[in-house]
Amino acid sequence: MADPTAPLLDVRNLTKIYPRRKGLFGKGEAFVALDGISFTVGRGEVLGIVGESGSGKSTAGRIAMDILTRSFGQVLFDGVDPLTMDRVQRRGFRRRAQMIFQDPYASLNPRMTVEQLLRTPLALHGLTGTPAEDRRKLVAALDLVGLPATLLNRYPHEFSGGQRQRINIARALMLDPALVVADEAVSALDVSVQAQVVNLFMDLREQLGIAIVFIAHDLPVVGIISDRIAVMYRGRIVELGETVAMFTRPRHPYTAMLLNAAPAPDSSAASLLAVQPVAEDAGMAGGCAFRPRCTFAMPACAVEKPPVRTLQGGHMTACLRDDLVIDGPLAGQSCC
Amino acid sequence: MSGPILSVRKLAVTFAQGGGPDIPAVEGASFDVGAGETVAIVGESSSGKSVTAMALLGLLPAGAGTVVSGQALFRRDGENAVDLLALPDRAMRAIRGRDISMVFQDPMTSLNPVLTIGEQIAEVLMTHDGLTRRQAQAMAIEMLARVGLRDPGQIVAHYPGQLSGGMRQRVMIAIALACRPRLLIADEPTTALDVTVQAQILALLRGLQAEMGMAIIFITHNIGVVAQVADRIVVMYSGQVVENAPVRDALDSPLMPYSRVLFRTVPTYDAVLARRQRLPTIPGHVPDPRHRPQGCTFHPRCAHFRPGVCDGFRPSLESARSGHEVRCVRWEEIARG
Amino acid sequence: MKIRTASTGMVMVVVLAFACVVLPLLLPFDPLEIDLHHRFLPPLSGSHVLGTDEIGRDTLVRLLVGARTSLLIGLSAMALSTLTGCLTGGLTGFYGGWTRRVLMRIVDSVLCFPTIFLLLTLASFGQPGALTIVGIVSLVAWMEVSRVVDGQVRALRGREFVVAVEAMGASAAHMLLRELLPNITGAIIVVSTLNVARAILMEAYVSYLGNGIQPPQPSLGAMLNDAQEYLRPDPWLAILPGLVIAVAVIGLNFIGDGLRVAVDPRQGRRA
Repeated sequence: MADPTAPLLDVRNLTKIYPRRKGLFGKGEAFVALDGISFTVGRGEVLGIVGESGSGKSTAGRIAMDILTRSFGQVLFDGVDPLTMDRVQRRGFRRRAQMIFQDPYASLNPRMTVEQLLRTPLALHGLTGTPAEDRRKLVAALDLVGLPATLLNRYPHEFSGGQRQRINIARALMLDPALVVADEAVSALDVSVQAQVVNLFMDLREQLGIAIVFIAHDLPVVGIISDRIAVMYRGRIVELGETVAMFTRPRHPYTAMLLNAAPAPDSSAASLLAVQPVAEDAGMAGGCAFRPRCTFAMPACAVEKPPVRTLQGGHMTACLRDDLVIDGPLAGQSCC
Repeated sequence: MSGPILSVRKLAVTFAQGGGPDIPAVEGASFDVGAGETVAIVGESSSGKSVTAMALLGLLPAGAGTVVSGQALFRRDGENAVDLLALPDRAMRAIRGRDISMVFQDPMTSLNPVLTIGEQIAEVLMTHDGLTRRQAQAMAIEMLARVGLRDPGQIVAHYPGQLSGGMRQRVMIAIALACRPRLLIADEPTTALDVTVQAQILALLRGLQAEMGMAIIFITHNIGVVAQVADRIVVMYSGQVVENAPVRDALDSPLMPYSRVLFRTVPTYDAVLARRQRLPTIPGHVPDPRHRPQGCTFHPRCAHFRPGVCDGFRPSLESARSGHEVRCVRWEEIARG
Repeated sequence: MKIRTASTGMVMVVVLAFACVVLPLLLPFDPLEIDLHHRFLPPLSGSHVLGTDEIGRDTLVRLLVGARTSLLIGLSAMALSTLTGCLTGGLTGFYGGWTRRVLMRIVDSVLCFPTIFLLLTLASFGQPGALTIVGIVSLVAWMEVSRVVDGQVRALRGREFVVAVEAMGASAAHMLLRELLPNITGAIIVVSTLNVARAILMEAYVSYLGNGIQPPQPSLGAMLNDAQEYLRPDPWLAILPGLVIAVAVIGLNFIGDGLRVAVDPRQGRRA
């Protein structure tokens, strides 16, 4: 067993490059989906990853789960990289790290009953016991996610989106995981159902001590559930820090823009105007990728990729401007 | 303000299903839209919000057991009101795209992939305003500039596939507004977009509305968006309008128990501060439209449920205070606390 | 509507199959029994319900036994081609890569040839007989199955429910057999049903041209060939085997088409 104080998941310098070929012989430019990102997830910790489409947040989650290949970098789960794991270690990894997907309609095999779906992970890991034992496990998992045992013989199409997402979560829990990567797991749900599932994730973390990587694009939702948040923009983590600190005083202008743009019922129409109406296309080589949309850009921002600066409390930002003081939505409300 | 430009009365839509029982998608929805006003129709899945919009535009699949009843009086400039629901197809087509136009959630599926952007905008103008091709092309470029696209002269020659999601939604808005409609129906227009792009599109819509004075019906499930764009909220639940009020009034002091909880389930930044506190939730789930509960359709999930009071008959939409309607028998008691 | 088509087809095929198996046992004639005193009897003459052929053999019993051979060949070819097709298509669809590219290009190019020439070329190499025909027909028919399975597997491979069990540690075999296959059985059944029909037609071609079932064993194709010479005076000798082939092929096609709609929910809703 690895060092219990070490992070459960340690991602270092992860890079994913898609070679893009143009025509038959032409050599196209490569598309960099992930540009050397690093983050850690502690045991029982919830790390939120936010970003807009194309930011690389899902790619990061899938590589961490080793269902997508990477170009460079390391993923250490309990100190071991899935790439170098032997058979036994790999089985352990597949058991202790689970993933939940965005689309509750596509992620359950339509031809299987709930019982078959929940039995699959047990069968895959040779954990099946007597029928009575198995059934007890199934019922317990359903109970944890708030579904009655009477649903075991039903098929996925008989359920609503929220119920399906609960089934997905129950299935992930069958193997007693230490880490769950939830990729936009609440994005496709209705508002009231979304609140239920977010609460469920909070329960799981508190009752079972499961660490969660919560990937989403909705900042308030991520903020509620996460201890720390990583903000991604075009394949890079531009800011990473404690949730309340980030929402009080964002250090990266992009974080500030996201916080400003996320509509909340208590925000007024005026806040819309603060979002820069800028060019949407900015294929920038060199320099900060956010520069064309940034109100605070300087000539130096075009020269080099901003290095990651570590501030007080482990807060990290990849912005050259160390003189910015931007108020987040929680400014003046939190203590300290 | 003069009278409403659209008065919807007792709109009902039923889908017959082969074999199974009929599905009452919308049950007697009534609301008004004033000139230049933005009315947000808010609801979760199977609330009937999108079906309402489709019915108003005459876009529900004809035949196949779809029954639409009720009235939707639409008032054009200096003309008598017409009932959109009773209009023959031909007349409806003349209104659609000219007096009433629409923007949908997915701009890619609503744009024709094999026609250039310019051709698609020009086509609308040529059909409805009788412009020549040259005039229409010039107008198309002007419209693209109006919706904040750079280099409109180049974009007219592009195909939809060459544009980003945000740009495509701007193009959709340009097409929708090309004929200066009196009413724009926008069905989840920003749901598929990133938050920063969403903010830009919402700002754009507001700006254009101020400039051109059209009314907007904005259909969405996102209460945060509603707070930013709407003058008035119509909350729908299981096919019925359950609350109808001015936006601040509705968000600050909702009367219907459903809206009261629904608005609080939306994560806010304040909730972020309350570390590890659970979000308020509504127990149970939206009822299957084929088997809606007796009485108030929300009663099985309602914290204020009173046996014998709430499960007997369907409450009607009553006027609580000026401009604020609610469908709940007990709203007065509940408001008193 | 489509359901009725499928049921009609089902009735046609079941009745034919039942007749082929049971009736020959009840009829008082042997399909090989020659009776030179009663040649060219027209249908409905005495105990020979459908008449006799040029050497006095009973047409009905020969038709039934011939149809039985055809159906058997069709079913065996279907079984063989479905198995091969699922195996190759499943593997190429799942793994992709250059093996897939090579195999599918081969399949494409072979499917470009008119099947009949391919069939005859192959038939001229083999020893004529039922087994050879099964082999030859399967050799052509598996490609269709393979293509369908390959396409379906490729479409479903990236779907979240498959990736989900992969992330849970599922092996390739588990993903293919437990997750993917159950979701494409419908499509496989459709192609296979249509393949039975095709196999029956192909058997008829080959036997008609003399490379198939050898005389004196009855076969629908060979009977058509024999009837050629007497087309003018005794047309029923050609019409009857033709009808049986038509019933079998149309019936099977009805089933296939009906199933195709039942299997594809999107088409089903439209219908």
